[in-house]
Amino acid sequence: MRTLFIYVLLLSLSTLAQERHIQINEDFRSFFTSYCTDCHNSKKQKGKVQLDDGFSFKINSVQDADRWQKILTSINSNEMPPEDETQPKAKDKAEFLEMLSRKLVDARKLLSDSGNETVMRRLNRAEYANTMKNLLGVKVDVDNLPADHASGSFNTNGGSLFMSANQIEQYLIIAKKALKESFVTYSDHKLMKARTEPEQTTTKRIKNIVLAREEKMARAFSYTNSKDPKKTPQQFGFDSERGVKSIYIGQDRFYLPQLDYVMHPLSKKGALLSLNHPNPIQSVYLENKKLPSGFYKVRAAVGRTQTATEERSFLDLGYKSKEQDDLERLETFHITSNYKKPQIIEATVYINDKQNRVFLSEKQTKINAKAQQAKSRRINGRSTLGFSLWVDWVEWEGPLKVQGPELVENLLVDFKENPSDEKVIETLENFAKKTFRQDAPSKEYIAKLLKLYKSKLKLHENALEAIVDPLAIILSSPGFLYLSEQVQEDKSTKLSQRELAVRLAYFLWSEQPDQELLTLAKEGKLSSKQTLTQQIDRMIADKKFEKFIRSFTYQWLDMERLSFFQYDTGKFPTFDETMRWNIAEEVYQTIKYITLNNLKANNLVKSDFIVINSLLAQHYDIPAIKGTHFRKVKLAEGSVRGGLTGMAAIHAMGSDGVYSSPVERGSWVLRKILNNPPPPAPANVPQLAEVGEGLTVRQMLIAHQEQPQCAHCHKKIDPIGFGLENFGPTGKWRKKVNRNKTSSLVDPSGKIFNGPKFNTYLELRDILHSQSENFYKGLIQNMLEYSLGRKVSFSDQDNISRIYDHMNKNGETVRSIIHAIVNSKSFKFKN
Amino acid sequence: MTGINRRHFIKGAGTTLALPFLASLQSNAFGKEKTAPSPQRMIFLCFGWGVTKETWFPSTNESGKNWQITPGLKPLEKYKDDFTIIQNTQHKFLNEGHWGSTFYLTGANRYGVPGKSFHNTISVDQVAAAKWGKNNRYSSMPLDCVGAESQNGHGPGLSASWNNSGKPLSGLKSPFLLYNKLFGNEKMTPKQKQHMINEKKSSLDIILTDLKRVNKKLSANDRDKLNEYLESVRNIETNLAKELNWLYKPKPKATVKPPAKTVKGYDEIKLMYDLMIAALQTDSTRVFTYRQPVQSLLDSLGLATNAHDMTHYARGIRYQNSQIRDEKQSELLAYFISKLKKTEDQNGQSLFDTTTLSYGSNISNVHHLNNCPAIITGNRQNLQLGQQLIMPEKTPLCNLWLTLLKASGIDQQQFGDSTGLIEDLLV
Repeated sequence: MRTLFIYVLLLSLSTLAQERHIQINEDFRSFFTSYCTDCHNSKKQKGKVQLDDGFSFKINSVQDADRWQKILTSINSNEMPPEDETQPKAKDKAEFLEMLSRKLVDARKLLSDSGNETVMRRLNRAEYANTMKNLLGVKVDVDNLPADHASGSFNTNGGSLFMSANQIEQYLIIAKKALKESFVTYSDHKLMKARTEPEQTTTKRIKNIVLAREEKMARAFSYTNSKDPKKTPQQFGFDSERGVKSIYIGQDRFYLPQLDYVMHPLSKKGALLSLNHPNPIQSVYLENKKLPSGFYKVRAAVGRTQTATEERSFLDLGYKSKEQDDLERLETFHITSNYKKPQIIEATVYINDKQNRVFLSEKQTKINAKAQQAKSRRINGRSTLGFSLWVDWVEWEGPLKVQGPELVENLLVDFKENPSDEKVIETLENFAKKTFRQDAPSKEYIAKLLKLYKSKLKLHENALEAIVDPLAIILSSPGFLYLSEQVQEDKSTKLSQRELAVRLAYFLWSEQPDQELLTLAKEGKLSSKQTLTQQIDRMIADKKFEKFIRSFTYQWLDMERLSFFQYDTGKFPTFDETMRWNIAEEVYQTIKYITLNNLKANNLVKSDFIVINSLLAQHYDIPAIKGTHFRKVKLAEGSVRGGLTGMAAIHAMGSDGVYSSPVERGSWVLRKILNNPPPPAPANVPQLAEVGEGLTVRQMLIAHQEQPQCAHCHKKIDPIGFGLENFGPTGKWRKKVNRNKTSSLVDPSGKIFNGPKFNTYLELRDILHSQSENFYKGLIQNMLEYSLGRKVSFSDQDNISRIYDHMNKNGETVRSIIHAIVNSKSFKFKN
Repeated sequence: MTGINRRHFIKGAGTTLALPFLASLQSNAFGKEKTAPSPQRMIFLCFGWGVTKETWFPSTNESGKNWQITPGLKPLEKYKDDFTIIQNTQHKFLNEGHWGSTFYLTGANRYGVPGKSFHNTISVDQVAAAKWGKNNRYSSMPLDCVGAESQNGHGPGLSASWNNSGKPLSGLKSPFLLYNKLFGNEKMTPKQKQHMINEKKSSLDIILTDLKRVNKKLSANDRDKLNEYLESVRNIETNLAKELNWLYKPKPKATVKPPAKTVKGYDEIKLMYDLMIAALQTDSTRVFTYRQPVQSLLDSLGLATNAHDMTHYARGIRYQNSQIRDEKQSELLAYFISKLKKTEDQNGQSLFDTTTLSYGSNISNVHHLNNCPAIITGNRQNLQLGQQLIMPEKTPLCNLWLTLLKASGIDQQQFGDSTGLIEDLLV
């Protein structure tokens, strides 16, 4: 460690690229002389490759790295040494491969080290949406912008945030639409209100279908039973014989659930929610009217039916999109009262032309009708699972008068009548300045915008319409889209106060700085030690800090994987979309709790509490707690929960929707908890013939050890993965594991590579906890990358050590890391 | 780049503006005659996660015309004389086992530029687009799918196409969007359109005024970054100039029905193929790349497997699904070939004979990047079809791209890390 430190210090002192290199240990020369140099020597140079004495063990150029990469690849793929030559001993080969794959990771890092230089970046998709919302008070539709979540780096990484022609056109389109919508949303409207008694809509509709069906069945019945030899289907109102038959075949799929619904006494006084047919989602009937965009209040009276269980007493409220069958969940309510005295739920929704359908449903976000249907058939042979929730009435009210953002409110006043040229110029200047985060636009730019406004005015009827295009241009200009920072003569330059405010805001809030930050910057006070400290704490306390928690955590912990799999609803009946959303939420809520309460960050490795809601409490078999909000719950002694490796989300990510994947989980722990990432999966390694589904996990471990190419990483990955086998694919605790129709007891025992042994998961967790320094360094490195918008590398190691020291002295909190990052030179300086 | 030389830029735009104008005049005057030779076209179909090694690749002991169809290629059997399968090509620089399309058409070295962790170069389709693009409403049309990057194994990028500076070109992500681009938005009169184009141009002009301001204070590297924005604006301006040329030539009448917005998977790919044919038929473009979906293909077939995990197959369900995937993809390709054969272009020649179609992936199977699956079909006058070519191991994939360029009438010395042509593929 100490030598590395000195080495790193030397690196950061040296400025010339050629002085920086990765050295491969000379001891490995013997590997070459034993297995390679018979052919690849200076005389023979087989394949034009020469690996004897003159061959350099230094990597300091892209060409060197490529050459070593070739060596690694050819050994990995068993291409070298050739079959008929002496083969390396498994141990030698594994050691060599391990060393070389690590050195190459380092070499790539070194060679791509930007030497502390941060490339300017544009706003990523999320930041753009947040900032637009802040400026205009409406949620913009960013579906047509690139997602910006690049593999292996954060979405703040400037290098991978590209720009394209299509994108610029999209920015213009989105901005125009957002401006128009904002003007409608924050204008005055007449308040409207409507209540629906769903027995008159939903129940009536279903009843009519049932009646029509029964009438048809009666006709079919009398046709079939008619003894008249001259009978024709047409006489009975059918097209053909087939038409009659079709009534008998395949009828029950919809009919039975519909009948069940109509026969239920509560359907006469309201609507019942079903898991599938006939009423999986209850619409709030806003969509029947063309309503102005804006905020609306939605209320409903909902109660449990007599047959409701605790598990089936959650109600989702959200948006149903017109174009896709996706439902966007907004809120989940825990329904605790019964139908005799229904509970009133209330939510504020935002309605615009894309998002104008609001629904209520028993918890489940995607309508996967087929799976639901199949599930219920398997369970009780019927097509319905009964009804748990009953809706007495629903109502909505709006649009509500809501104060808009300052820019919008001013525009609505100033552009009611045609304003003077001076007023237009002032408006454009203000708008641009606010949009450009207090950077002043050029005179020429404003003059051109004014000209455009005037030409628009000639075509349009009113001033407000004419100003839309000029403002949309401002919202698509580089001054807005890029987080630019000024440099003096290409040298390392201290950020201006304004630039510091911008960096801070996009780091901790994923959006633009607020007035307080900008005012402090303007007064030149922001960068003083005391003010900065106060401001960081204020920002962490702000609601907007959630954006950091979510955005950073999602990427740091690779939570994208959570959405990769469709869980078999037959196998995991309670693990639906709402559950998936909630287990992710547990991760965010825990990190937020730990941060805000100044707890040690290694509570993420092991803790005596968890942060959950009633849904998760059920999932974890923790005595019932009520309500869907997240709160801290103290754990019983010896609980397997507490810490990331006890969370359902982490285990679901380490599964494929059917089985747990010890390899996936083991390498996740190495990457995220132990900060000892295995090198990227090598290309061209021969696939083991029988790894995978056919084997028990233990057999797989043995198979992995057989081949040196696999062994050198898997000996580290697999034991940890097996130590987590007590967690099923959805994160539920299990003693037995079922694979290929055989059931076996889980044996979590193992040994950390070059480390201690463990017998149980709890012992494994204690080992991970004892190595918290690694966890901290990994966390720091990730947060630094996220905040700077670039990969961190060798030239950042000093900084990471300093941040680590600071955190150690300040309670080992996430907050202390944030403070140390902001106060580091990398953050305060451009380049 | 030092500052922005606006005058130089306008001059540049002027010349690109003039060329297509002449070309379109020409084609108006003479292009309609049936005797005129048909233009060359190129399509690159890319699927992310490779194929099932055991059942897709024909035996390497068979080469030339004598080779046995495999289960993975079974649906293509009927067209065995119409395509050539090539084994043992690869990109030597690639080490990313999950990046099926990032460098597929470029062959670049990710780490090729010191101090940067990502570098790319022009893709082969864009070489053709630069050559032919002036003749068409769209010089190239990169197509894409939702979630291409990770779930579908294509890796970073906005499509399989990368421009002259190695920056990604964005792709249309659904048949619906492609349809609209080809046939939609025809409600405006030429006059209204002209007005719209002029408005867009003046918007861009204002935007560039701000770019000039921002550019002044930046470091060299940041100016480089901002240059991406400038290039994109130029790109739009070139397209607008082109639209002006096409002002009085309305978009072609739709030859297919407008697709639904929500179609996914198998039908999505099929519709994309239909629309590509419609685009070639109307000569709206001559160059396509397409990052095909794999995950939604599986979903649409009712196979509950994660596409990535499926590539790590062993005996069992993943292996089966991997094979079904191959078969279904081949079935779609067979459908595409049959349609290309049936469809004539504006000169009365079959699209199949005038289109070079490449179908493959940079990933072979699992994390194997050697022996990229590669099928070449179409362009019969210039390509030797109906054979299996077993190349020497590690033949640069760029040799194939160079060969396809040559077969399409674009002669260049080199492409990417190419070391020569694949002569056996040429007539």
